[in-house]
Amino acid sequence: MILPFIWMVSTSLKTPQETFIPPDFFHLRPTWIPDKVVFSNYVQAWSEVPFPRYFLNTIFIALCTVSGVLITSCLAAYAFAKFDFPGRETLFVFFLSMMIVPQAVYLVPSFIILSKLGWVDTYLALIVPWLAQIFSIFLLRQQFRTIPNDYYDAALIDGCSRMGFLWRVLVPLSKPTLVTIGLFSLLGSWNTFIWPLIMTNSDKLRPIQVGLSYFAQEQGTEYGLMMAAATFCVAPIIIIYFIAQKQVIESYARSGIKG
Amino acid sequence: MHVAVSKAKVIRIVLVFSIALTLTCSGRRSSDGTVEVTFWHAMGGPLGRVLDKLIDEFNATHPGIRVVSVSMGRYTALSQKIMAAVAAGKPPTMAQAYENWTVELIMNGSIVPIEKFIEGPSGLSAESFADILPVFIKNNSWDDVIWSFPFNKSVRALFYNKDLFREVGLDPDHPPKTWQEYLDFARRLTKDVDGDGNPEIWGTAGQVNVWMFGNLLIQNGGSFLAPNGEEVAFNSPEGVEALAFMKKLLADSVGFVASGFEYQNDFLAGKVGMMEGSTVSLAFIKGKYDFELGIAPIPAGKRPGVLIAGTNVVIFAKASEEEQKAAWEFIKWFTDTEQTARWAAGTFYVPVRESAFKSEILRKRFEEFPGLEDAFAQLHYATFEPKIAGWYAGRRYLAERSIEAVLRGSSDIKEALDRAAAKANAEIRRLKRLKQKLGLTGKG
Amino acid sequence: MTKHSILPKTRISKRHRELLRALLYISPAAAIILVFRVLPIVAAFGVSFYYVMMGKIVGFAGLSQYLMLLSDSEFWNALLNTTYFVVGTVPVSLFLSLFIAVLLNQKIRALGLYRTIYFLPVVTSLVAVAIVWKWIFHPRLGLFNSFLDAIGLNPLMWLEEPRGVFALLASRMGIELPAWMGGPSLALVAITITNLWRGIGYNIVIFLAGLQNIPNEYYEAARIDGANRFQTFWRITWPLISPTTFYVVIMTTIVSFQVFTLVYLMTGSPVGGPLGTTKVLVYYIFEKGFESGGDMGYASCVALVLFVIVLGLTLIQRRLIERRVHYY
Repeated sequence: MILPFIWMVSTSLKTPQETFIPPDFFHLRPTWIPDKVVFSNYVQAWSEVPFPRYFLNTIFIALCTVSGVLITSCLAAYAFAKFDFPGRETLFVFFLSMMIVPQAVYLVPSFIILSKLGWVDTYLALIVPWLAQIFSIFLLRQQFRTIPNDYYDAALIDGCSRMGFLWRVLVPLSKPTLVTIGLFSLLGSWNTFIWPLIMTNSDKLRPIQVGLSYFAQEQGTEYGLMMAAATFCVAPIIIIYFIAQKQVIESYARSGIKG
Repeated sequence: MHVAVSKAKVIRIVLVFSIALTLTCSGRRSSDGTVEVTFWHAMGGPLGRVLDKLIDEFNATHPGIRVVSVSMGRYTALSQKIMAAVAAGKPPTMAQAYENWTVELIMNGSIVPIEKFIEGPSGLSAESFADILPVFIKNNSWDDVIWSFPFNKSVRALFYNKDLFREVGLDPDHPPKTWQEYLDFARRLTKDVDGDGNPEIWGTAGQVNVWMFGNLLIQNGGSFLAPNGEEVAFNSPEGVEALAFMKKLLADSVGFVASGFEYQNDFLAGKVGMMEGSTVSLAFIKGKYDFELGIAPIPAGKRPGVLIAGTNVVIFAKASEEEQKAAWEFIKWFTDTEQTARWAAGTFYVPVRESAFKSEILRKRFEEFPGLEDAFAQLHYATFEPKIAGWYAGRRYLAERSIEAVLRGSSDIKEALDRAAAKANAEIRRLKRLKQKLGLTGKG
Repeated sequence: MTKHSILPKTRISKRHRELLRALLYISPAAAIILVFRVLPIVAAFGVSFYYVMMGKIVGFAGLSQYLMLLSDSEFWNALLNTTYFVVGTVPVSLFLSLFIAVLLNQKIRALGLYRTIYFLPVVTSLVAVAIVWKWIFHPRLGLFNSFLDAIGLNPLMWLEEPRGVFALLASRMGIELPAWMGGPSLALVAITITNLWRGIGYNIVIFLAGLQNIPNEYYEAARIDGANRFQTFWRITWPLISPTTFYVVIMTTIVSFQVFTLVYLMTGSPVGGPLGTTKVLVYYIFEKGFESGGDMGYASCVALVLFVIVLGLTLIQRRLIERRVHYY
């Protein structure tokens, strides 16, 4: 299961000559542990292409996206969960149905819309469309509904504003779900590939995955370099993953129950 | 709290709108009155560096015009961006384009014919025009109108390892000149030292490539299109022979097919005796080999023949009059004798003018790389791939359904070519019908 | 801190006030969803009725592009490849992940560690996965072939092998299968394997959660009644996790129908794999829309057909499976 990861790191530490030796699966050396361990691949890969810039871009985009999703989801889920207005269920189902539509359908037209707005090749194209997530609204609404309406009614009678109830009661009580939404959004943003591939050209804005893919395609047979790049691109997520494993896994699990 | 939240929201919205506003409103004219020309291309790496240097020089010597170079890195990305930009109604001022993109851009009315500028007030004199290699003029004309202009063109060359030649007793100054020699030399170069069925040294190597097939096709007396120019003819007996020969070279016992440019790496490592490639390959392999490199024109079949490759530039109709004129000034300058020679010397693309062959800087290159001049000289009998609407998809069918299939072992070459021909013809017919039905001649 | 509602209390009924308030709260999300989901979907539908060349609309097509689909062999090829992929992915993923989840459900102590390890590929980016696995499947220098070599089998061409797996197996036994029976190409199977490696962790985690929801009393009762492991599974576990199974099957189907990134990055040049055997639907849409003539009208047709297929499959699965789902 984790063999591919080990292989990736192992190759990244090999000299080019060593990567060209056909590997011998059951021999620890030189297949798994190189005869000559080098870190030059990491240094070269890191500097050959502006990876630091890609990392910064990705972090910036992720931060904006996550905060945006959290805010828009809280507001929308609150309305769907607690407010009583005509057309509530219909509108909600309408939103949900948008989730089923494959990305392939709205990819091309989105591109055209973004072009007309002049947002192609700007951070706007990479951030704004992702500031709201239907699934997040769905999860949060479910969570908000578990808090009995009596609390809500009582709070209002006591003079609490609607906004106040949201931020001071619902949100603190819904931390796990918010963590889930935040994590999904962060992971999604970090790993996103097709959207930035199509919506951006220039190097300056390129996020990590697109940068990594171009790098790999350009390297031809420099497998050591490719593996090094792949390693440091997945490393941050893996680190976060190991620190927060429980949260991450439980988030995914929670999202699957009772669809 | 209520106030704080909505303030943040409001600020965000205002920020977004103001950014959007500034982006959409930024016109092409900067505040000091210079005309901006956006140039989208796919020159990256060493090629991009040479291009950018030339562009900087143009900008410095032409106050009032500023060419902005945007590299998309690769041609597939470039075509995607062009399409998308056209779809959104926001194309650049000019861009590189292959002929089969150009024909569709003509049909959908997105570009202006460059001929307008050639014959305009700041155009080319008669002798300047005659200096441009005729093959490029033909290559860029549809219905006798010159729509685009040659920019970065190349021819196919044969690169070979002179040291390996010597090792097997071949004259290093005598590269193969005929199909027979090609095959023979490849056989002699192939060496299987340990007899395990897997040669350590191969005679030749390549990739699935319409260019290589095309060259063989015309050398064998065949052609891509039928005389009426409306359907393909690469599935003729000449085509079958050409593909059969390609198979003998690359999929029999003297050569192999690799994906991407891996075969080039093997050549550089001294594991392959000869390889074909664009003259531009030299820019990428320079300094990466430690044997004596030989360069030569590709061998001839029944007659010599080579197809040109590379792209031209087009000017988009959406650009303002000023921008179009400025773009033309850049093109004119770039393809002038001095610059085209420097471009060729720096990137190993071919110069677009005859007079450039005599320039000092190019002659120095010829001395540095013996054989290069002969390779460039192929231009005098070179021709080009079809440029009718539908060839864009058509050549892909050829690559996937015929060439790839045959090189991967399919034995019925005629059938493979017929299959691709059928699909290509269907696509050509479809676009022709569309053109007639919708009146897409580009002049409207 | 009392705050008065920003909306006037008179002249507007409470219900309408509530409506306005709700719309205000929903508006940020709704604005984004409308502009970047609803609008593009409507536009895709619209543009599918037009001829588009290099990105620009050149004429009205009506239904003719949809009709063209019917006779488009490339479309059917893409559909076939995608179907092979889905058929290869869903049952295998279902079986393996359920199997592993059931096993893990018993070892409570090391559960955390195993779960973490299995789930790790899920959070790894598809790009990195594609790059690493492309390297693993390298015909000469790759890990997989070295494994085959080490256990005495012949190396395979993997991502460069256009022949179908059935044809390959048959030829080992000396039988020549006709072309149409060859099955998915080895290249496509290689991508399927990669996809399984990456996605299985997700299904395992979902199943584990479902399994843990089964009250112990049921198992106790079964034990008391003397049921063996097999019977316990079939009579108790399987029916009681049916809602989870249902979810897993549907999600896996929907997602695998849309495979793209792995194909795009693993079968690099030419894309679409050896002899077009890994050209899947979404790749075909991408190619038609963004390469090869910029035919965004036709690309939208294919995309909408994909949507209809996915929707149809989802509904069919719902009808078939939901009857068997036991909610408790």
